[in-house]
Amino acid sequence: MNGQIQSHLFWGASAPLSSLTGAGLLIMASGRIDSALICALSLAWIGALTMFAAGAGRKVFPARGERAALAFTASFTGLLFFFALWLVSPFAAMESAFFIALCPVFFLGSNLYGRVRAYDTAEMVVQAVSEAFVMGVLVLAAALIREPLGSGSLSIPGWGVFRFTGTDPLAVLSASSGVLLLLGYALALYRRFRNRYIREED
Amino acid sequence: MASRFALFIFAAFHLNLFLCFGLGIRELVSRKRRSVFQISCPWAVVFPATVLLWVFFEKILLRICPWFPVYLALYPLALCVCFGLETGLVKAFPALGSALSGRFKTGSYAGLTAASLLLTMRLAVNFGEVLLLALACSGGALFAAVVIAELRKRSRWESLPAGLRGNPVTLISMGLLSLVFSAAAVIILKVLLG
Repeated sequence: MNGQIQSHLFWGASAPLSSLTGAGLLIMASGRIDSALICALSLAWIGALTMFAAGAGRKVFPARGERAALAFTASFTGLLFFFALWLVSPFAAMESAFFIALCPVFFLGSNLYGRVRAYDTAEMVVQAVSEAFVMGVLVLAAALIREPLGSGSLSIPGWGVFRFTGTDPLAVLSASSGVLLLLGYALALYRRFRNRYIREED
Repeated sequence: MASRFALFIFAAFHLNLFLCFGLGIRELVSRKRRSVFQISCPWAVVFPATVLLWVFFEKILLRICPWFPVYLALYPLALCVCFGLETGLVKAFPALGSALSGRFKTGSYAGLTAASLLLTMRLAVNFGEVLLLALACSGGALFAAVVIAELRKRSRWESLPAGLRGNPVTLISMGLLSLVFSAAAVIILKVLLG
């Protein structure tokens, strides 16, 4: 695998589907489309602000306990997002608190700071937003499969919930066991395409 | 007594919660071959960490400021407590170093501690129940980890399509296992609680 593919946002070794860092978030936030959208927004917000704080204050960031400092910074930015969302819609904020708390975990698990610490602050922010975008798209894609098939509905923020069946067509998909099955098959498909892509690149 | 046993069963078999937090997924599906001893050591951190954090949140923090957003402090504090306990354990028992060191970097069980703490804070009403729930959560997660490690080992011996080998088949097995665990928990709870 060459360096370009190694660092690729979707096919690279640190990409969410390769390293499975965001699996927990994918399971939690992909139940409904509106949750997935809020998750994508919170990922971008938390990633950008955390990397901005880490980049701007890298001289004061402790070398020992760097991970703990990052965890607190990311959680604090998560708190800011939670309050911003609460001002817009308190109900949505309360419903999303659980997976907003998981977004810092995704950034720490993916070791983003370790990979981009040599860059300048602006590049760190761009990289964080790009990774958040990839993860957000994955969560949204999973939600677009899970919600219509699992609950027979579509929830669009600002428009409400549209139910198009009386029953739940594939109720197992709404549960976390269903999304694990989905993730397993999606991963098999992803690896098949990645191997083909790498061969073409080489 | 029946309600306490039901609480224990609910926490121990609630594999979905463990899988929902997902931090264990990366650890569980990793390709490294590990012994049962190495798999079980990190879970010894989860139990005391859950109890310590419950005492901190319920008896100190939430009494001083009841409006504190607990959700958003769960993970960083769990990470710090797990790190402290891990460092202490490795210093006290150097033989545990190979089983524990490096886990903190992936944050693999800090998420489980946060999940276990969340469940404990929601359900426990006294310290006895806290101990029961923390023990059940860490024990249930350990059981799941051992089962998945065994599944992973056995899947190497089977002839599978190339695309399904490794992580995909482990995730599919976890999905089926999660379905079985949650169904079993519901049945046992219905029997216990009538």
